[in-house]
Amino acid sequence: MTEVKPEILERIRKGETALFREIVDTYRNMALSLTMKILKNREEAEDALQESFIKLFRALVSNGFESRAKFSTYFYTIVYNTAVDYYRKYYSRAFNVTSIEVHEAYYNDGDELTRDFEPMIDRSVYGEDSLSTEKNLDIAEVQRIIRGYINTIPQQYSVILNMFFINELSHEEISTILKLPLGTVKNRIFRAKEKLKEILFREFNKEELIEYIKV
Amino acid sequence: MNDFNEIEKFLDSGIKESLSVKTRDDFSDKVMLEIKMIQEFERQDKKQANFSTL
Repeated sequence: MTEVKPEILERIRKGETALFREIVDTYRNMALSLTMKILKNREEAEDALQESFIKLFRALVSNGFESRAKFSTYFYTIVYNTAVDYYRKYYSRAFNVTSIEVHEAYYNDGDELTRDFEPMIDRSVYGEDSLSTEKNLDIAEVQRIIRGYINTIPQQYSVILNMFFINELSHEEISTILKLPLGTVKNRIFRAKEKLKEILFREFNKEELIEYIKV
Repeated sequence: MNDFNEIEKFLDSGIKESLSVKTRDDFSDKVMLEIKMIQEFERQDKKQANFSTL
């Protein structure tokens, strides 16, 4: 877990502005990943992130950040809220990480995780037996499927996955930032991973995949 | 390590890789420049305010 040392924060507060660059360099990619999940547009995501860093800087020099608080939680709260504000301005509607809109009468729990993803799998590549156990394992294809899945799952999931895997926030911290029940946070990470497993094991032979992973 | 853990580890790293993005190279320069400008404006404002009270 990347945490900024309190003495660095103190030195920035006392006027060593150039040191702030260390924070920007440490967090910029991880934080951009989060603003991209919300805004889905690089220009907007980088603008929102730049504004987040400026808000952070102002908070540091004006004692807005209490050193007892955990820096990363504080910072990602700023990043999340700023990106959500941008989303509201950009799309003229509120960003909702709470609910998943479901209209279909035949909806089953978890369907929203693959609704947009299924058409991305080019089944013609696999022939009529499609994706059978006889298919040779192509790890580039495995990675392509994981990437395709992650890029198409609803933001209600991808934002949480990003906070957990990239921003390295705990379930509790995510729950605090998003104001979601702890159980919902844990459940969404679990369901997103279970669905991915289900897709991979449907597409590839399980034993072959395990053998590959072990090498 | 058992198969379950191997799969979990593999999925976690695949998810991480898929989520990752990078800022443009000059991103930090832009942020630092913006901060410098803000500080300069604030300095000017203070100067102006002090001058006005004289």
